[in-house]
Amino acid sequence: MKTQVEVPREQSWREIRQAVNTRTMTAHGRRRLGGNLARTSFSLLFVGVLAALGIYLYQGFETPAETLAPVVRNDPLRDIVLLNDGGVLTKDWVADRLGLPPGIALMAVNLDQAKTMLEREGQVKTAVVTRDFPGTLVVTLEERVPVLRVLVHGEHGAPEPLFVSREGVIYRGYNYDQRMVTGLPWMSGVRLTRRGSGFVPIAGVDRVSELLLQSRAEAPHLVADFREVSLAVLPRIVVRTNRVREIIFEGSNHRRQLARLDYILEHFSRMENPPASIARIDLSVDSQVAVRLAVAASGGTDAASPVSHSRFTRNLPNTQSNRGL
Amino acid sequence: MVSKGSYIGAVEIGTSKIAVLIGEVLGDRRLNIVGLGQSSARGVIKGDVVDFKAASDCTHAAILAAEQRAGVKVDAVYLAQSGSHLNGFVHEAGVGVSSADNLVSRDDIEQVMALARGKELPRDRTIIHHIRRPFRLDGRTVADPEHLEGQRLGVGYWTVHGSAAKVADHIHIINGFTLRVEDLILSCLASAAIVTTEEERSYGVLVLDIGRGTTDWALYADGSCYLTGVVPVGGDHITNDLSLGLRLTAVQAEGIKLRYGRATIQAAGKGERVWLNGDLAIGDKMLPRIAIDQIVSARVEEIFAVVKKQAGPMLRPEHVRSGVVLTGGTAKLPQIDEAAARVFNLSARVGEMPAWVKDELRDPSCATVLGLLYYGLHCQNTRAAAPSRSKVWFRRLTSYLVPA
Repeated sequence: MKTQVEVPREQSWREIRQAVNTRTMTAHGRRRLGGNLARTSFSLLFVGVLAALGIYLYQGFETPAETLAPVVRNDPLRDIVLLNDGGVLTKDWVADRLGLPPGIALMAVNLDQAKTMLEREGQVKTAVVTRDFPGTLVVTLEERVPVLRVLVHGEHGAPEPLFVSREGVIYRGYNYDQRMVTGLPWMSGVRLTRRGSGFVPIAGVDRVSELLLQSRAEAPHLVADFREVSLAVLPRIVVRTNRVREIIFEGSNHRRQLARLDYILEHFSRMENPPASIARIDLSVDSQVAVRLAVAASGGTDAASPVSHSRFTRNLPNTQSNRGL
Repeated sequence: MVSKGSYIGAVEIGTSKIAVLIGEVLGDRRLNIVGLGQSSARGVIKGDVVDFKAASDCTHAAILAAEQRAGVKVDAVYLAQSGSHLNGFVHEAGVGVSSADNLVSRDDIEQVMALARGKELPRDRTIIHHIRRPFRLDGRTVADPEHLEGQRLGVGYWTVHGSAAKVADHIHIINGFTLRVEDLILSCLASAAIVTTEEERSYGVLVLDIGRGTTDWALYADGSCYLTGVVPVGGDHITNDLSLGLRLTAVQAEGIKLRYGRATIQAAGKGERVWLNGDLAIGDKMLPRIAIDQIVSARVEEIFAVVKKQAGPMLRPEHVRSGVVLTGGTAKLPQIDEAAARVFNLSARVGEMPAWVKDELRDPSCATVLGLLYYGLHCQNTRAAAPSRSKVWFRRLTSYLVPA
């Protein structure tokens, strides 16, 4: 049987506390302590920097498990979400253009190819296609706005109406409001060049767009009567309306020209015997306006009736004083 | 297990000089001495620190010199301990073998060891060493009693203790250089470890380390250290008597001792006279050689006599068959071995370093510091292995974080 024996506590020299006491240090000791502290601090700093770098790299290379899971599961495409602020294109149109087979995995969709396919359509200015896991394809579109219409010969020789955007791109429009479409003037005076299944963009439409925008903003009653816009004599723009065969606009300062046009047309409308039609109103002649009336064609041609320029120039409004136009 | 390529230092703060060695500990406890630093000692008298700042300055300068020579920095050292405050006692204990079949178990051994070590000391004393003597099982001496059959197991310890304050002074000097004392080793044990062989210790040997201020001794029998002691006289004792007896300054007396001192009186040169300085300048004078011999031999024999008295009845030829081995700076005194043989009535010799020690360390005055490294690595079973680098780094960090 083992007996328990009380053994006194040993008083070893190891109980003497060994600690760095700066009060009892010599100069050699202080220098050594300083050096040790500096080395230790540098080592800790170095280790800290390494650790931070390691964490940074780990986080940078790590792929979140939430993202990996659908990839591993090969989830199918369930929906297409279309984001086109103010546009007229629909989700069905996008799905039709992409032609994705049913049940295709979301990861199998080639985003670059989808973007190219959509941007190949003239109505689409830019397209961004992204995956939204687990099963949604998000399509963000910026659409072109039509400025003019143009009538071209289709594949079988039949006339086909197309739209012209501000950038001069000619395209087939989809899902535009019919009233908006009928309000667009026709474009003429330009020779179209085919490229592939489309046409080479034409120049100068941006000037027409500025004219039409300003007209719609400040003289909607005038622009509603625009039937045809000719770009044949750019930078001047020739507009045909029901009452005037040719209205010639200068390339810039449309506001002043619209004011003068409105004044002239109003002047004719107030006449006791207004002319049946006007052959030309040339607004591009500096500070004056040339107006030629059309004469009933007993002789078969428009007999120009020169109108004194001074008669109009004397009372023509200028841009600065006729803000109410 | 000692880590490969770690460094450990050994520091001896003596009365005359401070010696520092730095050793590279290779695998399997092989030692490679890579740095030595020495400085003259100040602030230390007979092993006791009497001027902390002066002693610190000298010690730190010696450590710095050793580190610069070695090209490495150490974090821990073995520290030699000497001084008249050291004392020792034997404490024995015995237990009955607990098992029914009378086979000694590990529990029996640990219990008897704990009992033998567990003697309470005054509060101002601290233990330096517990040196275990061989086990006794029913009266017979055994090296390891485990699984041997017997009824009563006994063991004794020679416990060396010293003044806690004086030991702390030495330790704090080392701490002041941001070093830690890995182990505290009695000077005579360190010296004995390097100047005697294991065989000599097993036959019994008395090792005397005669320094300038103290004489440390250790008596070995049956391969174990039985007794140790410190006599607070050393080479200075001889110098002082020469100074008084021949009316010389301490410096002159030291010079005479080193040049003409002999530990025995030689009848052949009775009428011989020697010059004090030898430069024939004013103050130089002739001294009778016989007077020098008489003073030196008397003091040497006096030192030996004090040791003989302290060692007591154990110092008999049948116990100390390997005789007396002398080391320390004063052991360089000519014919000191003859004087020792005559006083102890034993064979005596001046201790020699092992063959692997380089020439610059073969001087007897380097025995203690060299023995510190050797003893720390080879003669301690459970203590004082050179610390691994990772432990050193962690300890250093915690020492900075924990305020003194």
